[in-house]
Amino acid sequence: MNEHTAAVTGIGMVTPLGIGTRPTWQGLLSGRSAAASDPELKGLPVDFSCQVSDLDACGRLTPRLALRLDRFCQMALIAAREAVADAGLSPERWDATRVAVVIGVGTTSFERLQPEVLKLAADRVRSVSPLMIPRSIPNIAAGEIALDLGARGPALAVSTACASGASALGTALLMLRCGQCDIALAGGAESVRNRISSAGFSQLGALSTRTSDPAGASRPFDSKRDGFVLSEGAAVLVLERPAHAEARRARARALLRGYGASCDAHHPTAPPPDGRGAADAILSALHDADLSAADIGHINAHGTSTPLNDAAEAHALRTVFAEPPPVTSVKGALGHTIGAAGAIEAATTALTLQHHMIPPTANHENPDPSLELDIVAATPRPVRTRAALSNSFGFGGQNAALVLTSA
Amino acid sequence: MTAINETLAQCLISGLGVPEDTLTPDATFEDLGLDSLALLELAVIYQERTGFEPDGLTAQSTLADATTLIAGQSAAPASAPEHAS
Repeated sequence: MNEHTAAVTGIGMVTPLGIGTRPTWQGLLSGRSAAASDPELKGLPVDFSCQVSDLDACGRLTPRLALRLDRFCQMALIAAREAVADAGLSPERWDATRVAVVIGVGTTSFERLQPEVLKLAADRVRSVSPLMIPRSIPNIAAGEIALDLGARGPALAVSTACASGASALGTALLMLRCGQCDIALAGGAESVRNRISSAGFSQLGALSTRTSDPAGASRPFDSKRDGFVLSEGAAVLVLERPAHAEARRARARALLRGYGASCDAHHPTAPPPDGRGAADAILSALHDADLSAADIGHINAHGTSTPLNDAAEAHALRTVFAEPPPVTSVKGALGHTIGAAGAIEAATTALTLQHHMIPPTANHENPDPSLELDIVAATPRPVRTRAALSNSFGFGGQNAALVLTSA
Repeated sequence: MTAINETLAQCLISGLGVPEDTLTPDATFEDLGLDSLALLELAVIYQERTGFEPDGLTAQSTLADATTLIAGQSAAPASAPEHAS
């Protein structure tokens, strides 16, 4: 280890496969999809999603926090607490001014916006909730985590749409390298399981319309893929300067070693067909990690299950890798958690390096021959490698790639 | 000891998720875990249910104080609605 890397000493996850890192990992290995019909979306053209069904914010947090926080923030808090406990850190004992919080969030929270807008439309201005602004602004997740755990270093949100979680981890890595903090609680959080998000993404043509078979709807890199599936979740990773982790004899699950970012500068929402920007981000991450493409033994893909993304990503991978190593996408199982996705996927990549196992891509049944990738499907695949790549790409053409290595 | 304003109690329980068994006349809003932001929300919820928005509640007010304050304000002549001129 050197000061260029960050030790991943703790992981916390809240996903539609379970609350906690262990149930999420076990669920991913099972290869099942969490997508199901969603009562919240009843009557809409796309009425299914992947849901965190037993969040119970009143019980896991407090009734006050359940009222004050929207779901993305509730999940962020639960994930952050798990990550800190997993790292063996005690907020009572750490140097609070040296703990940063960097959380990726892709949208402003729309969860409880509609009733407030309706009050405004009905000229009931004095009835609009004073909590509407603080519960929906994207940086509140970082702020509430800092408040909950007593972290008094820099706290901020990073927003690059569907790449936000990966951008947050990359930003935290840079902050650790330049000495702004000793510990960073970094990740992502989002819930787009609400009516206005479903309507909006649906109108963009981004969602799978497989309403008769929700569990089969998210099928990354499959020839019958037709869009992504709305989801929700959060993941927080504890990143530490290696010397800091060593001094307290903390075990690292993996190392975060390289970060690359780029912008397509091509189109607001569509990638260039050749995946040029994505390839640039991957090459930059490899350079930052001081590794070559041949060192990478596994790729945790962005793999949204939209026709355009998966084709462009495959093109980018074939540009960078003479023969791309085994690829998986957890979005087959989890749907698209938007701002949380990059963090959930980096956490999964760390677990793959730790446990030498690649979870399968749920619903990948009919390989798309034009993609020419080795997609891990149906069952987990053992892997012996010391380095893996995790990709994330967002609206705005914003791309982030992370290189993780074995501890 | 003063009883607690029933509407206020219901706003705290169903609107803000405060456990019913913690509502005693001498408990302050701070004791109930309500900060200044929560008090703003409480005032709006109360106004939604009654048409009257209590003014001057602080985190240090007890529920008995709040009950007295609301009784005094709601008995006083209503101030002009904001959209009347």
